[in-house]
Amino acid sequence: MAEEEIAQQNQEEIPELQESEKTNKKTILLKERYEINFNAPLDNLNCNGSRAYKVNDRIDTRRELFALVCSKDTCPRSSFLPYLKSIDHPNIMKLVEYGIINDPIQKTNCITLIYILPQGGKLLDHLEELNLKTNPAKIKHIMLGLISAAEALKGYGITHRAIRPDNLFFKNKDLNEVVIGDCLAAFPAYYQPAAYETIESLMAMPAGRGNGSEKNDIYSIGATCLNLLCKKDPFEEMSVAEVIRIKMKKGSFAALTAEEKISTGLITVFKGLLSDDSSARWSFIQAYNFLEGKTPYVPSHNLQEKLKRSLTINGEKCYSAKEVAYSLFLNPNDGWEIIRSGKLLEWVKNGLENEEIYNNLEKSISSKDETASHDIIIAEVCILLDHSAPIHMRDISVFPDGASKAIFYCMQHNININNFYDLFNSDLIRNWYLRQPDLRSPMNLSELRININRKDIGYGMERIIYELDEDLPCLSPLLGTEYVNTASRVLKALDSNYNNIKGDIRPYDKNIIAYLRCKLGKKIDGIILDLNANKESLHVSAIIRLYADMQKKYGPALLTNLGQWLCSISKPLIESYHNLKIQKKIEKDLAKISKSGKIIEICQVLENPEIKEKDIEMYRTIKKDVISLIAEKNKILTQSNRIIEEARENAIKFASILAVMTMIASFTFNLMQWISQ
Amino acid sequence: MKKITKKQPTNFKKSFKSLSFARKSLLFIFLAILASSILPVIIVILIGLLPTITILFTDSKNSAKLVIVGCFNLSGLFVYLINLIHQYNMDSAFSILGDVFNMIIMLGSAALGFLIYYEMPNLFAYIAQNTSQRRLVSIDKELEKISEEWGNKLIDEQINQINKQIN
Repeated sequence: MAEEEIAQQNQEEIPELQESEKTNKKTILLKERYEINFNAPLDNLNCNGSRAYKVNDRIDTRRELFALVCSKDTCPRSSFLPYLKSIDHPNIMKLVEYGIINDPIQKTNCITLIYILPQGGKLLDHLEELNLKTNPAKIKHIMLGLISAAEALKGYGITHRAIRPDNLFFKNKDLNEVVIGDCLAAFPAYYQPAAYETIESLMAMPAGRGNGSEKNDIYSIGATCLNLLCKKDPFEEMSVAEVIRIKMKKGSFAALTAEEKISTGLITVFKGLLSDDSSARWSFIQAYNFLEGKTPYVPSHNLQEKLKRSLTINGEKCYSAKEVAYSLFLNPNDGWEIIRSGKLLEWVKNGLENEEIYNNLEKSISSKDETASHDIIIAEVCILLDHSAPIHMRDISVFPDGASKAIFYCMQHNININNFYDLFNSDLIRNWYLRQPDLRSPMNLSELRININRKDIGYGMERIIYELDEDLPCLSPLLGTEYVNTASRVLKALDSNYNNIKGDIRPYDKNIIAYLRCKLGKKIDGIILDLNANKESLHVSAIIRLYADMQKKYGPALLTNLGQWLCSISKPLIESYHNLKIQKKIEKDLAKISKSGKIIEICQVLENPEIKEKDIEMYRTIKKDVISLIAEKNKILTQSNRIIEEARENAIKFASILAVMTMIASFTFNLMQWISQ
Repeated sequence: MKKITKKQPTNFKKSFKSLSFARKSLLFIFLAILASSILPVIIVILIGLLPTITILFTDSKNSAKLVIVGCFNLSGLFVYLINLIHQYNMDSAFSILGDVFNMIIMLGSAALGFLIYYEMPNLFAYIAQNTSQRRLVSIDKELEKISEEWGNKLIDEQINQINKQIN
């Protein structure tokens, strides 16, 4: 898969970068206390795609620390960082501090985790010394430590998902206490080799494995300890698909032991921890009971009993529902033929002899009309056959809680995400959760579907990934090399990146608005409404109001570049004022304060309610005047003949009155004269 | 409601025929006396109001013309009618009509009426046209002033809106 290749490339790139860093002598200070020495790489401690460097604590200089500079590709699970920092457990590597630094090597901002340096070094380096095969007590001790650590993490709602031999260290030089290394520097289980992941987890694409449950950690503990005991990884040179096949055929325990002899006292615990049926896999308590000498329940078989009747898909015989589901996903054309011909139903009824699955499959297949997508039908069949597996659809295979990270990964690497649109638009996620005995859908799927299909700003796939996963940083290219994992960092990032922006670009995009909607909640729905309006002035007004509020709430107090940026795009808003004198005054005021770095002031100048009201009122009056003037002008121009005609009529009336008056005057005058004579 | 019916004009001939001979004779005598007593006035009026009488026959539907010319004609006639009453006889009537100056006054007043009737509308039309032109100039000035302060957009918008309404 393309994703796996990129993951490998990332791992390969790290040493090259370390070589180049030798020439750059740089020290970065984190939280005014921890000096990360980029001249002192600790290659041995590189983990989960992150690079390790020596750290000097300015306050407690005796404390030996190291930093893990995380990769942006597989961003850290930052929401768990405060919890991990608060955990003080003898078997968990102590996270002392974390924060965002400017990585001088990758020239980008990224999260850096400061851990206490394990004095005893890597456990793998002392394997010969420990000779675990002859010392079962030691392996039990390690196992107990790991289980205790995983349980402690579970108490905080954290799954480790990176338990593997090369991530185990000795806390002290006496090699007594084992500590598990970092678990939050990358996507969960992204960098896990195939040996340490369950079959279901391996079926999912690395970025889409999700946080999983403690059952995944228990499996990893079992696989890790078994590997330490056997001193080799039997799947080292195998592809993930091959490992899945072997684990499905033989069962994880048998596949991992690879004919290696294990002491009988330990077989039980490994079988319990490595059970491929997650419901039969041991819990922490069962593991503790065993390690304390009690005899717990041991799953009778790790591998599902092989059925006598097999179903052949693409020339391969499948004996279990899990195998059939996986083969259907890998061979969709053959799979569709088997479903359509009824062979699958016949096999489930007579081979698998599972009435419930048969009924569900029959109901599901018969309810689909001819126009329904084959891929979605296959995906639904896969869920019904094996609900513990991830959702398989076309070339994607993800657990719902890992879907957001998988989409994020695809977006980052320009991989087509159309299949994810189809996944969210189907009922597959809902159906998957319905089949899970102990999981409930954390998302409102119908609302999610509405949001995903809206093309408006603040909606779409961007909104979904940020809504489902708070670990993900904002992917907007406008933020440049900044690492934005909180709403408060958006403004600072925009401010820093202003000088790299070329052309007439606005200081927001779909990504930023979707991200802010997820972080700030419903209160910015009004802003989003304005941003999607047809008026350009409303867009500018909305973004200035939003950023002004954010600066007021989160700071920083000075955002000179962003202020200039906002001023440069404010023309439509200024032009929304009708009066040209007011426009000129605003432009003048804006020029004065554009470099002040205070968006609130810019907002006040552009959005002064008094001036706005006055302008609107004056405009209303002047509009009326203009209407009457234009109407009058029109009347004069179009009805000149009528006006002249009216004048003529009036002239006749006037003349008539004048004539009558003259006559009366003459009569009266002469009469008076006659009387006087 | 009662329908108002137009009264039929009384048949003058019939009623005249129905009169007795004595009555007819009396009527003639009365009319003869009346005619002989107001004859000077009638002569002056008939001659003096000649322009008005002409209009009455030639352009009787043009009431405005009749009123204007008639009234001016009468105002010129009143001077002589009063004089005639002062010396009421046929000689006076003929002496009035025999004086050219008197005739100029009587008929000239009618001519003034004609002049006013024909030229007053032209004068009024000229004044109206002039006023309109001046108003147009003043409207343009006002609009120009508005556009300086509010931009051309406002005026253009309103013109478009009015044009739309007209169309």
